[in-house]
This record gives sequence, structure tokens and C-alpha cells, in this order.
Amino acid sequence: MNKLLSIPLLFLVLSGFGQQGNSFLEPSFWKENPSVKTIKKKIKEGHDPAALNDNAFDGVTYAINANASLESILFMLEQEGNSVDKITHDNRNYLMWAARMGNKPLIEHLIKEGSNTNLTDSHGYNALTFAAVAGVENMAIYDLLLSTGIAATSTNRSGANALHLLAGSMKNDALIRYFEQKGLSIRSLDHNENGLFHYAAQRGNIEMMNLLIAEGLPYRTLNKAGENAMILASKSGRRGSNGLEVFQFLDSKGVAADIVSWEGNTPLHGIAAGAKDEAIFDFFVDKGVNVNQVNEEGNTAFMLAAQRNNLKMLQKAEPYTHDINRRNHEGESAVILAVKSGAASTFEYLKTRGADLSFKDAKGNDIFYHMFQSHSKRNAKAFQTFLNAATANNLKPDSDTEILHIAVEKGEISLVKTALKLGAKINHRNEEGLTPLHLAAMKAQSNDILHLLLEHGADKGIKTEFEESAYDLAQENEVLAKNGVDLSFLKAN
Amino acid sequence: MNKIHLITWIAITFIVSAFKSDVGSSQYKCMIQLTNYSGEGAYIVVSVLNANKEYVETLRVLGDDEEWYPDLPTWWSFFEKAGQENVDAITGATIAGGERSIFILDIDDRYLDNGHFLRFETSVEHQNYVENDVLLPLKSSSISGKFEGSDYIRYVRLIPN
Repeated sequence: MNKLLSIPLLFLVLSGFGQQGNSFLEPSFWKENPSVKTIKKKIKEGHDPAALNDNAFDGVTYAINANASLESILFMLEQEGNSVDKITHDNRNYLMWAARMGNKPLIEHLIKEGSNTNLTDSHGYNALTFAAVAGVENMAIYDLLLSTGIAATSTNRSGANALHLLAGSMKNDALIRYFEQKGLSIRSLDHNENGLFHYAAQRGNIEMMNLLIAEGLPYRTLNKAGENAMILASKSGRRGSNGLEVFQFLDSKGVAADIVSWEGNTPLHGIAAGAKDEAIFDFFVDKGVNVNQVNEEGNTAFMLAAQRNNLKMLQKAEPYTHDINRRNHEGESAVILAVKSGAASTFEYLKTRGADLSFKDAKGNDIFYHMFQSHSKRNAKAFQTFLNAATANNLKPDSDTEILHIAVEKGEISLVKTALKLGAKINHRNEEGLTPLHLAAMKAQSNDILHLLLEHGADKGIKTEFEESAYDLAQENEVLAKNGVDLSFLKAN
Repeated sequence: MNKIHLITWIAITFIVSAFKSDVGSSQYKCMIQLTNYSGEGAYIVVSVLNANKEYVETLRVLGDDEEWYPDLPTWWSFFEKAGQENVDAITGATIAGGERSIFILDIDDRYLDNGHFLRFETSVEHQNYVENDVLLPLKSSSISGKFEGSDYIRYVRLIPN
């Protein structure tokens, strides 16, 4: 249910990599508000003003989102490959980004140039709802967007309209009155039966909650998942979690704190994810919330805190926990959940408290399987923590483990080396009948992993169930072909 | 339930299912091999279309998070309305660049040789949606073989099972 209220905004900062060296794809370049002259110089130096990175952001998108000068944005727009109908990240056109930034002159320009005003992005937002979810308060922007024929009643996929989306951020009733005139109702509900009050609660917007109560809105109601405003406020989103004052406020208005949703969640399940203030935990315990309440997946707040690397809440819940190795319906204990999500702090703590590391989950997967699955460059440190703990406990991977396949799939040569060191069988076939060498031939970008596997005795002669050798598979690999990798070393003798 | 009833019931079920497979359907081993593209895992739907290219039945969905199903807009507009049977039974894990998925396709014989098509459509997060990555006529003379894809799919292999 989290996702219905979670607001899909972008990871602009995170997505600056890729297309290495192209200044136009670096948010830092746009922060400096570069002049047209600087942009021209960069183009001359070979930086591509139309290139998209892996997340489908381009220079124009970054320029708009960094609020670059109109002159610079328009100049970028004129470059070949940057037409008004170009589709970028999450299926958005420039009009949607301009709407998000409330950039009136740019919106006017894009509309004049024939930008598609009917476009819906991959999260179900159009230009109007995207402006609303970004918290745009300038009515002139909405006037402009509505004048193109966009319906005021537009909703996202969860059925949230502009007022729902604005309820988290607006501080007075101006936009409520505005959208009422356009045909929206202050009492409208989304598909999950959340009203404006629920949305305001989720973001901890006390001013708006007071205003809506004064308007006579029902605010102690449950949505379709049996959640009241207290549970919604307890969930943390990308913007972080709500403070104690939000829960105290809701409590003072008679919104029940001791509540269990139809899915078995309490506010403690909610705060286990992200809250850092211990007083919030104590507040809910005082109000009678059962710390050991099990939700429909079989998880307690303690287990969710372990999963989300929330050490404070884990430690708060521990005294109430009878068995730290308790398992959910997938056979996962708190420590498995920590490994699965790369949560090093809660893992370390659970280890010192004697959590069982020799587990297997309901699918029979061991700790090695999960640490390989959760490995990424970004959390290589956590991986090392898990690996050290497992080996210090003399644990060994299952004999038919697929850690080598996982490592090959991730394309990380250091991870492949670790799997080999741990004794993974070099010619083991996975469910699809593929050996690690087959998989490497299919997914490789270069020949280094292939060579490494051969050095460790990978058999070139093994064929798939479709009679393909590793050489056959590598020959079909578009990236190896593009990089001109000589594959003759893979030929079976 | 008393014993006689149970036996009758089992017998009927047996006859019905035997009858069904007689008129029935044909099973094919299907392998989807993706190109070595970079990016997130692909969502893939395999469906039967009629002669007018309208959806008739969803045979397989690769990708188990329904949140992303609308990213396959043509299929989604059918699927949402159809309120189809539970798709869990025909859902598998997504696959990413260079990877393959192997599964059994159960194709009803009445779709064969009368203008129906088999469609493989694909979508990758942050990238484009491809309505007809593979589209092939359901003809008994040509249904087994290797079929080139146009975008994320390198090829599809179908083999009578």
C-alpha cells in the first residue's frame, strides 16, 4: 500500500552518471547557470547537447530542472535532436518538466511549439498532476495548463487528483477554492478511498489538517486497506518520516493510535522503516500498540526495522521480542531480511545478539545466496560485512549454490572471484541449464570474466538444451560484437 | 461428501479434462532471448490476437510487480477491462539484457490456422515500449522455429513440447 501514497519524484542527483564526460548530463554544470556562450563552447568541445543518459535524462531536462535561464534552455532546445516531442525519463516531455518547475514562460513557449499536452508519464501523471505533485502553487501555471484542454479532474494511477497531490504541501485554502471552481471536490477520494486529509497526514502537514477539519471533512475514517491517518502518517516516504508532533496532533483530534490495518500493520510497522526519534516508539507503546503485532506477511516491527537498517527502532523493539530468529511466511528472519536488503548496521547488531546465520529461507536459499543477490557497487561494504561474518562462523555455501551465476549476472569481476574462492562449482548448471560460462557469454561487455572462468576450468564444450556452446552465445552478444572482442579463445577444440 | 458422490465427481472431472485436452491445446516450449541491452529488466507479455489484432488471451507475463503493468499500454487497456483470471499462474520473473526465459506455452488449437497471431510485447523502465517486438501468425505449418525480435528481443524459439 505504501506505493499508493508515495510520490514518484526523480533521482536527479543520482542519475548524473553515464555518458561520461558529457557536461550537459551533469547537474553540477547546470547549477552554475551557464550562459549561452558557455553552452556553445561546450558543444564545440564535443559535448552532445541531445544525448540521453541511462535514465533517459538529457541536457534540456537537467537545464529545466536546475532552473537554468530561459535563454539557455531555449538555446538547448534549438539543438538538433531536442524537439518538443522528445520523450525523456519516465516517458515525460519537456512540458511536464517545465510544469514541475512552474516555469511559466517556458510552458508558454512549449505549448506554442505544439508540445503534446495529453501525454501521460509512466507513473500515470500528466502535466497538471505532475505540477501538483511537485507542489507548484502558482495559479497562473494551472490556468495555462487548463487552457490547453487538460482536464482539471485528471488523476494519477491511484486516482489522486491535483488537490490530493497538493494536500501534502499547501498551507492555505487558496488552491482548494481554485480547483473547486474548476470542478474538483474537497471531499473526493482516490481509488484507495484516501481523502485530502489522508494525504495531508501522510506528509505531516498540520496546517492543512486543521483547515480540513474546520471545513468539516471526516478525518477519522479508514481507507480501503483499513488504514487511518495515523498509520498513513507513520509511513516514511522519500522525504523522510514525520516527527512526534504529527502523531500527537492526530491523537489530540481523536484519530486512533492503537490501530491495526486489514493487512495487519500498526503505526510501529510504519515507523520501523525510517523514524529515528525514540520518543515516537514510546508514544505508540504508551497508546497500547502491540509491538509484536504480526502483519499479513508475517513480519513484526522488529523485523521491518532490521530490513530497513533502522538500528534505533530495532533496539527499541528488541526487549519485546521473544525470539530474534522468528520467521515470516517466506521463512525469513530479521537477519535474513537485513542481508537481503544490504542493511549492515542492523545485521552487525543482530549478529552480536546471537542471531542464527546458518539459516535457509523457505526457498532453501542460504546467507551466501542472499548476500550475492543484494550486492551492488554502492553497498560493497555491507557485502564485506556479511561475508566476513559468515566465514568467521565457518559457514560454507551450499554445494549446489548459484552464487557464481549471480556474480556473473551482475558482471562484477571481483564478485566472480569471491564466488570462486568460496568454492562455487565452475560448471554447475542453473534451472535454465546454463553454466556460468554460458551466462557470461550472454551478458559480458568484455572478455575479462570469460577468461577468468576459463582459467578456473570452465568447460567450453558444454552445450545448452538448445545445443548452443558458450562460443555460439558469445557470437550473438551485441555488446561483444560492438566492442570488437575476438572470441576465438572460446572455441571448443 | 459421501463416497459415491466423490467418485462420481472425480470421474466427471476426469472425463471433462480428458475431453478438453482432446479438442484441446498444444504445448510449446518457448524461449525468449533478449539482446544484451543495458538498463532495467524487461516486462514482457505474450498474447494471442485475433485476425483484427485484438487481444484474445494472455498466455504469459514476465514481471511480477503489477505496478508496472500499465507500462505495456496496449495490453494493459485490454487486460484492465478484461478483469482476466488470476495471472499468478502465468507470471514469471523479469529478465534483463542478454538473459533468457524458458517456459511452456499452452496454445488453444482453435487459434491455429484461422488468422490469429502470437504477440510478444516488451517494455523497459525509463526506455521505450515495443508493441510488436515479435508478431507471428499462428499457423500450424510455421509455428515452430526461431523468430527474430525487433527491439529488446533478440529472438524467440518455439518447439513443440
